[in-house]
Amino acid sequence: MSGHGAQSPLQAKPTSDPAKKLCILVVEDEGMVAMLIEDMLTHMGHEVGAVVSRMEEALQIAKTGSFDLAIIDVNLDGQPSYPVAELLTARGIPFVFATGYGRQGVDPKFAQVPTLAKPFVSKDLAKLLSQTEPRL
Amino acid sequence: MAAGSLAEKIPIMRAPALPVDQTILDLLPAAVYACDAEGRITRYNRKAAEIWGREPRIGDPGELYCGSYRLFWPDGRPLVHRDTPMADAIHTGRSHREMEVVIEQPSGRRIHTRVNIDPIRDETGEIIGAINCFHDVTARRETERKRRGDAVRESERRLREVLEALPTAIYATDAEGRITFYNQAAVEMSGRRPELGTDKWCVTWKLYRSDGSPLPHDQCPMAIALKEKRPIRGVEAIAERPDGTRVPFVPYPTPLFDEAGTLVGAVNMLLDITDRRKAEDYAQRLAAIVEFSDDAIVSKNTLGVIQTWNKGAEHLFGYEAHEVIGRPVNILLPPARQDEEPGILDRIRRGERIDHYETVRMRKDGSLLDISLTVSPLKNAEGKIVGASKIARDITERRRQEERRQLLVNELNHRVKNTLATVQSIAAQTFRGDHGASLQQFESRLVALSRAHDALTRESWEGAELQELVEGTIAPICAEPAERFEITGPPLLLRPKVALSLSMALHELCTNAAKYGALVNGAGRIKITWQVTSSNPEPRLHLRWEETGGPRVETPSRRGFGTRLIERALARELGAQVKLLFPPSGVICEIEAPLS
Repeated sequence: MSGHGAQSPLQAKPTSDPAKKLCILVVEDEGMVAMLIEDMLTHMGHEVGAVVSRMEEALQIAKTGSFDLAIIDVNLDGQPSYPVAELLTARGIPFVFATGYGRQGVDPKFAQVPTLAKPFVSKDLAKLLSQTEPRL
Repeated sequence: MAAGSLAEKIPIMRAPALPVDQTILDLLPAAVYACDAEGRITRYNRKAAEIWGREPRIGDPGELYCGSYRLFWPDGRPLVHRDTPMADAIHTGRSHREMEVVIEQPSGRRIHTRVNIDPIRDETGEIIGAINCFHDVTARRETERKRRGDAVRESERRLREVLEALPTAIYATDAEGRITFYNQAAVEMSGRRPELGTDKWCVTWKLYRSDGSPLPHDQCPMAIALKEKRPIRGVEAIAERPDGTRVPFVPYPTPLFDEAGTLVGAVNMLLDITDRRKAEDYAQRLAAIVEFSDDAIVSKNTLGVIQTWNKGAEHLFGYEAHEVIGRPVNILLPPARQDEEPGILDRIRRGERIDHYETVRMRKDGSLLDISLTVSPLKNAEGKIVGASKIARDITERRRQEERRQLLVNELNHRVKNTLATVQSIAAQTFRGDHGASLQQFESRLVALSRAHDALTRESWEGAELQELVEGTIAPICAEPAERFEITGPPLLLRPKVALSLSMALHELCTNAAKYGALVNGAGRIKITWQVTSSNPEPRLHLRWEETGGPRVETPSRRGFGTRLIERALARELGAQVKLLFPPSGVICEIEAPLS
C-alpha cells in the first residue's frame, strides 16, 4: 500500500513476441480512448494500421482495408458497430470487441467474439490478443 | 165492521182444524200450530204458546201466519209476517224444512227456531191452510257457537304458536294499525319489544327508505296496506334498532277482512335481507372490479365456450362482448398456437390452476400480442368444475419498458465506462513516462471501480452480491483464486454504495497482498469470511480479511492511499468500524458496517 516498486506500465516487458507484430485496426469513437489503445498497442510492439471513429469510415476500411486484427467499440456514437463486425467476419479477419456494456451488452450473435470490458489495462488487452488467432 | 163481517163469512174452525185432541197436541214436545187459507191461526199447542211467549187468539184476522208479534231472519234482519215460510206455504203450496226463524217474545227475548211447514189441501187439492211444526234451537245454537268459539280460539292459539316459532318477523295490527301481536323474530329484528295496543304501524324502532331517507311509521308499507286496504309487495326498507344497527328488509303487509268484507286488521311479515343484500353488494362490487379491470377477464365453460367478457377484454382483444360470448375461445389463439387450448382445458378439468403463463394471443384484427395468462377453474356451489376464468394481462408494454430500461442501463454503462477509459487515457498522457508504478496503480484502481459497477449493473443497480464482488475484485490480481483464497459467507445483496466502497477496499487489500503480502510467494493464503448479525437498530456486516503464509509483515512507516481508503473513507462513507492490523504473520482487516 505504500508506494514501492518501479515498474512503468508503458515500459512493461513486451507481452507479445516482436516476431508476431500485428497490424491492427482500431474502431473507436472516443478520441482519448482511441489514443490510449493506440499507445498500449504500440508499447506491445504492434502496429496500429488505422484508427477510425465514424461508421462509414469503419465500414469502408472493413471492406477494403488490409490488417491482421481489429479492435471494435460496440457502440459508435450511438450506433451498434455490428455491420463492421459482419464485414470482418465475412472476410475472415479476426476482431475483438471493446465495450462499456461488458459481455451482456453484446449481441448474442457475436457471443463467441472475445470482449474487452472498458476500462481495461494493457495486460488485459495483451491477454486477449494472445487468445485471438490473427490472420497472418 | 169489516173484520167482524169477514169473521162471520169464514167459519173459523172449518177444514184446517186438526182432527187431534188438544190434550194430545199439548203433550207433544214440539210446537205445532195451523193456519187457514187466509193465514189465520186455527189451532196451536202449549209448546207453541211457550215459544211465542203468548197465547194468540184463534182466528184473529189481525195476526196472520204466526203467533209471535216480531220475527227476524237468523242474520238479524226483520222478517215481516207476509214473508214468513208459513205465508209462502199457504200461498204457493211449497213445503219448508228446518228453516231458521227468530221469534221475539213480548219480553224482548229472542228464540231461534227451526220450522217445518206443510200445506193442507182438501179432497179437490185446493190449499185450505198449512201446518207448522217448530222447535226451539236457541240452546243448541249457543252450545254450537260456544264449541265453534273454542275451536276458533284453539286454532288461533295454535296459529300463534306457529307464528311464534317462525324464524321470520311477523306481527299483526287491528284496523287502526295498533299492534296486537308480534313474534320473537320480530323482537330480534326490531331490537325492541313493541307495546301491544299502543305502538302503531310497525314493530321497528326507526324506518328508512332504501335510499336512506327517513320513512315515517304512518307512511310505511303496513300503514299504506291498512289505509288503502290492499296488500303491498315489492318494497324494500331499512329498520334501525335502538342500538343503531340497521337491517334491510322486505315487508309483506296484508290487510285482513271479516266475512262481511270489513277491514279488521293486517298482518305483516318482515323478511331480513341483510345476507342477500351483502351477497348482492359483494357480487356487485366484484362485478364492478371485473368490469373495470384493465386486465382482460373472461370466463369460459368446460368446452372452452366464452361465457363472460369484460371491458378489459374488449379493449385488449378488440372484440365486443356480444361478438364473442357463445363462441369458442380458440378465436383468440393464433393459428400456430391452436394446440394450446386442449391442454389448458385438460388441466382445468383436473382442477389445476395455470399461473402467469406467458403466451401470445390474437386480436380481432389478426395482430398478435404478448400476454401473461392466469387460468383458474370455476366451481359451482356443489364444487363441480363448470368452467374457467382467464385473466389476461397485456405484457407488450411491460416488455417494451423492460427493453427500454435495459437500453438505458446499457447506455449509462457505456457512458460511464467510456468516461473512465477517457480518464485513464488522460492520466496516461499526462504522466507519460514519469510515474510508471503510480500510473499502473491508478489504472488498477480505476478498473476495480469499474468492476464494482459491473456487479451492480448485473443487478440493475439494486445491489450486488458480496460473493460476486469479492470474486470480481480478486480476479484481475490473482490468477489462481481457488488455491489462494478461502471465501466463506452467506449470500448477501449489498446496496450500491456499500458495494462500491467495499469493493474499492478489497481491491486495495488485494493489490497490497500481491505486492507485499500473502500473494507475493506461492505459499500465502487469504481467508475472507463474513457474517451478518441482526443487532439493533439495524443488521451489521462483519467482514474479516486474514492473510497467512506470506513474507513477514512490518507495519508500514506511512499511511498510503490504500490504508487511508480502508481506514477512513470506508468509515466515513459507510459509518463502518475498520480495524487494519499488521501482525508479522499477515495483514488482518476487520470491517463492521451497518447494512440498511
